[in-house]
Amino acid sequence: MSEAKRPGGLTALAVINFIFCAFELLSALGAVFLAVFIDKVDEGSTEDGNNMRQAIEDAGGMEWIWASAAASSILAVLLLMAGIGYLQQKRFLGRTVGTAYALLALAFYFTYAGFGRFDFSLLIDIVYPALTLLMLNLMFKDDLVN
Amino acid sequence: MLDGFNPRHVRIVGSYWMRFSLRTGGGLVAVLLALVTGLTVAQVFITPVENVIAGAPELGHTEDEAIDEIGRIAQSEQIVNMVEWLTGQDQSEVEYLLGEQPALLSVIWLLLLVCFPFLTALSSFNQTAGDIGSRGLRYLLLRTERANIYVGRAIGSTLFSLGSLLLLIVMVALYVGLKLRLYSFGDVLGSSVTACLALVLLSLPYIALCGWVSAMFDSAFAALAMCLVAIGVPIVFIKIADGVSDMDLAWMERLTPWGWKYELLSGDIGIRLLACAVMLGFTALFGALGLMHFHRRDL
Repeated sequence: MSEAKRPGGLTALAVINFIFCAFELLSALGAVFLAVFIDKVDEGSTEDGNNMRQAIEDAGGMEWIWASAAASSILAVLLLMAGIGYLQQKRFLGRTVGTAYALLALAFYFTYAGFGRFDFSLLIDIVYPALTLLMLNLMFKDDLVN
Repeated sequence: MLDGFNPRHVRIVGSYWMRFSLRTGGGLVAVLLALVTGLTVAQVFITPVENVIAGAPELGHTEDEAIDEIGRIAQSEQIVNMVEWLTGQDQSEVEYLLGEQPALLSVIWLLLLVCFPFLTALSSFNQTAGDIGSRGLRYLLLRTERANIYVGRAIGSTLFSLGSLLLLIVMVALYVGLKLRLYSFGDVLGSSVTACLALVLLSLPYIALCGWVSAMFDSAFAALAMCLVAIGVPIVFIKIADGVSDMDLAWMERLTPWGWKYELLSGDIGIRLLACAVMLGFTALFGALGLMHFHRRDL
């Protein structure tokens, strides 16, 4: 299929993918920075440090921070690869990797919800993966064939 | 103007247009923006309420006590005054929305009423402009009449907007009804159905207006810019004029659908029906003007 036949929706999905990829990378970077920062703060040294340490323990501990960083990094890589796949209308890089991103993201958010953290922001988070899953496998499945 | 009007052709054009809207970048972005904006508006009000309920046990209160307190705060003088200032409605209407209706949902619907005309523009700005620019409509004109294309695409745009609106309202209503459990299921359902009808009715004149603007231009981007200008500039102009003038010019808002939007949620059924009739009237006016323009223009 030629480049000119690419639907505008696929181009839009690719651009949105790149934007979300940047957000995921920032999120991963923020989590790593936080984990390193907390590690450097000696226990009992300052009240702010202790408060932050307590807040992180309440939110699931350091393991959760590292898991979030890893999940965000993986999602960022998948978003980037899928975005390139959409532009080139590739079956594997576009449809398969894009679907893998959507399923992984949904699994991550549902796991997050399963640990008692189901709040309204989660609904906003699942909009894009759910939309991606539907669009790739219903609307654009015949366009990602290269 | 309606020469060769054929409902079957309108249905085919409309259903194809709905599918085509999703395949275009604009349609996809419109759905995403409508959902994310709507959910973000809802989150602004839902998250603090959720935090109050979740934090109640730590402060030695039960969740029921927290819910009662939220109900009391929602009907406090400050909140009533704030909503009165925001909507410009009288106190009895505001008390109806915050007292008799689920207050949390009411404030979400009020803010969505403000956002929706602009979100509607994102999904309806390209009803004909892009195809006029690419001269693609010439091929469609071999098979059907102009009126069928124009009306079919307007109906397709309406159904497309309705889809994302329904999804948004169902998500908010299910969350408030099943997760927060602040109100009874019947109250949530009633409020959601009313809001859905209000938002659909508010969208109609703006879809018709965007169709008219779209028929004037042969560039989708120019049509989008002019749709946003056509929706936003009169409101900003009237607000500024009302602010700087000694005269009360707020009545001028009634010359646009914008000035009637809050009445769509009114507790007085007569006022609500009047607002519905006004919205349908504006839709008919903009639709007829758009169709006349499309009928005459060079394609």
